[in-house]
Amino acid sequence: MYIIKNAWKSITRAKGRNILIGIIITIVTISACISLAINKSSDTLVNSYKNNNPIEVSFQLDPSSLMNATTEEKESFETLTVDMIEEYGNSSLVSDYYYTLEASMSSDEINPVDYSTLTVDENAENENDSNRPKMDSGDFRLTAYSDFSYLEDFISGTKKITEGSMIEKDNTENVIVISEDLAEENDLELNDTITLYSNDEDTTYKFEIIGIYEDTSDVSEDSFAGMTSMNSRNQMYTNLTSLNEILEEQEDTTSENTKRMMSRNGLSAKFYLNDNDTLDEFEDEVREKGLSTYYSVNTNESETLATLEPIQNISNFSMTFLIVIFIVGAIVLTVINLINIRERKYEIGVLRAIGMSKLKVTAQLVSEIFIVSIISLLIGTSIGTLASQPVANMMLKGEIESYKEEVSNTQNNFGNGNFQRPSMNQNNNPIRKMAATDYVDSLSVSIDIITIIQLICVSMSLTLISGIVAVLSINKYEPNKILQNR
Amino acid sequence: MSILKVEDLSFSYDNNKLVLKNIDMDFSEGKVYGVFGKSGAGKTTLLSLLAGLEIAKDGKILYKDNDLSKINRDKYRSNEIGVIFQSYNLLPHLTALENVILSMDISNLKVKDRHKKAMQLLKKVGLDENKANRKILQLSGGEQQRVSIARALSYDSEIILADEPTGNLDKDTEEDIINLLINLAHEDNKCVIIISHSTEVKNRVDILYYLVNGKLAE
Repeated sequence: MYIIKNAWKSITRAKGRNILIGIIITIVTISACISLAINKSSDTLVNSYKNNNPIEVSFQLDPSSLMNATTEEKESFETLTVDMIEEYGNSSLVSDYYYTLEASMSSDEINPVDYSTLTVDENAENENDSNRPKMDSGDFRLTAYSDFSYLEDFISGTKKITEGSMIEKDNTENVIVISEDLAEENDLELNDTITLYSNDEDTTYKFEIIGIYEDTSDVSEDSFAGMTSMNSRNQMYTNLTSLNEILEEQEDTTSENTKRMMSRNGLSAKFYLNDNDTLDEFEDEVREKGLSTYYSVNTNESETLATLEPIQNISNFSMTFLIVIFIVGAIVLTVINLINIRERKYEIGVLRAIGMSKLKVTAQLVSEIFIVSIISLLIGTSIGTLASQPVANMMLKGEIESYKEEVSNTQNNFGNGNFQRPSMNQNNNPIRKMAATDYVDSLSVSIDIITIIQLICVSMSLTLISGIVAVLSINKYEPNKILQNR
Repeated sequence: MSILKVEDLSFSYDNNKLVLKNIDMDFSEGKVYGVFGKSGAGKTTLLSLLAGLEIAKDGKILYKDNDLSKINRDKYRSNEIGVIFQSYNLLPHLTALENVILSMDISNLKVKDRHKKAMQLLKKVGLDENKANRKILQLSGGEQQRVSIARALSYDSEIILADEPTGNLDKDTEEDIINLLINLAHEDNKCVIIISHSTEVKNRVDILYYLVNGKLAE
């Protein structure tokens, strides 16, 4: 007990030295508190974001490598089929999946909605509809979903059924859902019938309108890329059975070579994995089950993670900062303690001469550092807790601004903001992706018990490092030598 | 009865020239011993060895028949022997009173009120309450010497070892301190060993030892 009492006397009577040590530990604690809180909150946010936004896995045919393949290889190439998708979808690694069929259609009876008839919004951003056909020729785009609950436009509210209803999953009749604009353009109403055809004008399909939807998405001429079917107002929805029939007819009229270049006309699938880390395992599994190597397995992970990039950056920065400040703090404290021990050599000599054991002298010196550390820890944690949220906000704001500036500069380098590489579709264009990314712009930072334990560990590690220096120094000193040398 | 015995003790620092050569001494309770000699005769080295601050390499020092090099010397210094250092060796950041109490704390002395006992000891060596509560550097050399004496007496050790205990004291105080040390031996049955140049001390001790060039003179 007297060791603590004596340690406290030493602290209070050598204020300057202990205030200096206290300031260093407080600075390290504040930094550690902010860094750990930001890191912890970032990790929680990133994990929660990943869990709430599982990555989408899709397959994409690489036409160039297929074109360069030998005739034998081309003949052995198997295109992706609905059966294959369903087989892959039943994997234990997959939590859910859906696929879409899409066909480009035309009609002699109805006119497509033209760009000029729509309200022009010059500043509108381009849509990122991943389900757009890659080879379009008709005026309309007919789409069927294996599960309409994945229809993003309807989930986000860009599109909304205003009359009738959406296609039901088990519907097999030739029914269709069209946009309000298309209905108005052609005076169409519910239960009217429209006739569409695909490649062959003589082969027509009649569809009964069972639903009309309102489309509130912004449009610009760029969105259509010169094709009316790209206008989302000209998109129609039907069931898988009806669309499959149309696509089979299309295949019959398409040359074998063209077919090989297409991943099966308009068939695309998306898989959601139970665990994002099992992507490689899933790829191995689908390859084993027969997915051709001409298909690449893609994910939207980079797109998902792009929204979190500023947060991950400040998290990484804060941890690096913590390590640097910990090392610097440890070095400075060690030096101060070495000087401190040298200055107190006489005191150590006296204590040893009047019978205080090395262990107790060490305990007293370590207690002094420990008491200063505890006080600094309390002050540092309090300041750190208060400062962590504003610091996180400031860092995140700076990070996002820096990203946006980078995107803006890159776009300016091309002369305008709408430049797009011809070979890239919108989803793969990194510049567009960055521009369109809706960064996570808030980070709720809080200090929990784990963070406090980590802080105690950081602070105590510093105390321990300083303590070891004290122990090593004291063990070196013999009382008689200290007193004789004085 | 012998409490501290020196047997054929030789000592040198860092294997250089011998500072002490074949010393034999015997110290008993109830007596005052004086160790005299010129500067460099080896008096302070002898004190360091008797205080357990140095370890005898050749020969032995026996405390109650136990070899000092084999017992816990920290405990020996904190409980069995009270050392009055020539340069006082007090802690400057503490008050006179705190220095004395700290010594009691280290020895783990079983006293109800350490503060009261420390105050009594300081009064005994001529320091009032005001001076007792001053920090060491606010006291004169003589006053520091008295604090050093009070500290050596604080845990009722059986041996008192004093290196020039009256060196910085005036004549009257010197007389008081010598009387105090002699009373400790004669009344409290302690073994008091004084290393000194003082003629006054030389005249008052019971047994005299002379050191000449590290050897004990007859």
